[in-house]
Amino acid sequence: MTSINPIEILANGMAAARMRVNTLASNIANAETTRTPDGGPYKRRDVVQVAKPIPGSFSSALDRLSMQKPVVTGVVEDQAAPRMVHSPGHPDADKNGFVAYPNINVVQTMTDLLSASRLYQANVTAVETARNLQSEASKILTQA
Amino acid sequence: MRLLDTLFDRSMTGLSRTMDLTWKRNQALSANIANAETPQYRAIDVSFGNELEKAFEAQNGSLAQTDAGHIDTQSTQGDSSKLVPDLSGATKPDGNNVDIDLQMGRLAQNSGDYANAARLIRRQIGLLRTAIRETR
Repeated sequence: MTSINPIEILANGMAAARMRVNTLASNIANAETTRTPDGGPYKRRDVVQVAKPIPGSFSSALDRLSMQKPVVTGVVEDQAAPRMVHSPGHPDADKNGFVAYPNINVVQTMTDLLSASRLYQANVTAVETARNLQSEASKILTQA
Repeated sequence: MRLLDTLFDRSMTGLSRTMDLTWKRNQALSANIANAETPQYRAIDVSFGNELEKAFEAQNGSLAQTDAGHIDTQSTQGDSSKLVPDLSGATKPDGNNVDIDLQMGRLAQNSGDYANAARLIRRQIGLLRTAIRETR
C-alpha cells in the first residue's frame, strides 16, 4: 500500500502553477520593455515543467506505472526575433530608425494567465477534498 | 480471522478496504490534477481489480485451511489493485492527456465513496457501543 499524501503532490502542482502565473505576469508587465541589463529588448520567458515519478509509489512489483509530481526545472527565454517597430525618435532605435520590442502577444498571455490561475484553484480544491477525507477518517476515532 | 471480523461481520473488512482503495485513487486523481499542464504527462487511474469482491466476500463462502499446504483464500495478500493508464482525455499538442474537468468530477465522486465508507464504519462501531451500553 502506498503512503504518499496527495496533498504533497498537489502542493507541487500549486508551486508549478504559481511559477507559471509569475512568469506570465512578468511577460505581460514587460511587453513593451525595449532595454534590459543584458542588452536588447525583454525576451518572453517560459516555464519548463516535467513530471517526476515519486519513489515508492508503485502499488505492486508488477506495476509499471507510478505516481508523478510536477517539477519546474527552469525558466527559458524565447529566442525568437523581436518585433521591429519604426520609431526614429526613440532612444533605443537602431541606425535605420527601428526599435526592437519583445515578441509578446499580450492577449494570448492573458488567456494563459487565466488558465494557470484556474489550475492553481483546481489544486487548492483537491487539497480541500483530501483534508475533508482525512477528517472523515479521524471522526471514526473521535465519535461513533 | 481478523479481530474486526469477530466483533462485526465481514462488511467491516470490506468497508476498510474500500477506504484504502478510494484513498489510493484520490492520490492518483490528485497527481493528474497537479500535472494538468505538464508536457508529456499521461493520466493514470487506479483499477480496483477484484479487491472489493474479495473483501466483502462472505466468511462461510471460503475454504478452511486445515493443512499448511492449502491455499489461503482469506488472504489479503496478492493485491490485485493497480495503477492503470487513463485514456479518457484527448491528447493535447504538448503530449498531455489530462482532462481537468473529468478529473475533478471523479475526485468528487471518489471522495463521496470514501466518506460513505467512513460513515458506515462509524455506524457499525456505534451499534456495538449501543449493545455494550444497553446491557447494564
